[in-house]
Amino acid sequence: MNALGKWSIASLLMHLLTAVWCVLALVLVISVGLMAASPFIDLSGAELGIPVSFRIDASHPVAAPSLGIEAAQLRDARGTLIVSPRDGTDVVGPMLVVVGMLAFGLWVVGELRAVFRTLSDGRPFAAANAARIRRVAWAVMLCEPVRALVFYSAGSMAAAHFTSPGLRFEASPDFEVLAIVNGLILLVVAEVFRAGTRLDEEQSLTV
Amino acid sequence: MALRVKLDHLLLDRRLTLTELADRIGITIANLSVLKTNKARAIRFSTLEALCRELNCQPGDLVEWTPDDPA
Repeated sequence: MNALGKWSIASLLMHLLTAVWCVLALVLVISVGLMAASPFIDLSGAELGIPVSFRIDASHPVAAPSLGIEAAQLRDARGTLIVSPRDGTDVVGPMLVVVGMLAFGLWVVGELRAVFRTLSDGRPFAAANAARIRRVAWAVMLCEPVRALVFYSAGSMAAAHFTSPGLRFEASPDFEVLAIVNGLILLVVAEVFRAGTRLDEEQSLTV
Repeated sequence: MALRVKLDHLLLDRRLTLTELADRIGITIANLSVLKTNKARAIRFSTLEALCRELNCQPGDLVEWTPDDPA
């Protein structure tokens, strides 16, 4: 199977991205609708997930007697705190975050889909590709601090208000350095595409 | 651009059409048109040689350099 062109890996990925884009668009529309209607509809039975970090107290020892380990520590524990919203207004804030993330995801997938469309057409050095990849790279790098801030805010809220015997909720930024590295790699790839586009243009204008 | 290809003058002098010249040197009319309209970024030695051979001229007869207009 070829990497570029019709019936290639790029073509397969383009169709996959198209499917993901359609699903995201549908979920986004439903989310916006739900967000707009949430103050006015009965949300009994609905669940709201809050990303949290927590620590388990020493009163809950962790051990593996079969391995001869008598005391182990559980660190960097993360999970999702599921709560039932008191009323519709509780949902608006988190839904706004979800809608923002979905819109961002939709835009990124749209850009990637456009890049993969040119790859499946056998035109890897289409003029717009370098700019598209550069935009995605910056978006990935700028999105990470925002995501970390959202998680930190959720963790702070959980640490301030929720209690559980033996558990201590902590606010942790959960900053993924790898996302920044990925963004930097994408920036370099964008420059490679820009250089390739220039060479391709020169080649096409060489007689 | 400071370099100008004088293909149109040579074609007129030799009473040749772009299509005829393209056929003789074995490149596409589109490529020859790029050269004629001064849109080309580079010219291969093989193309230059074929042009000189078919038009019976020197490379200097094909390309003219003029200083850029400072304005």
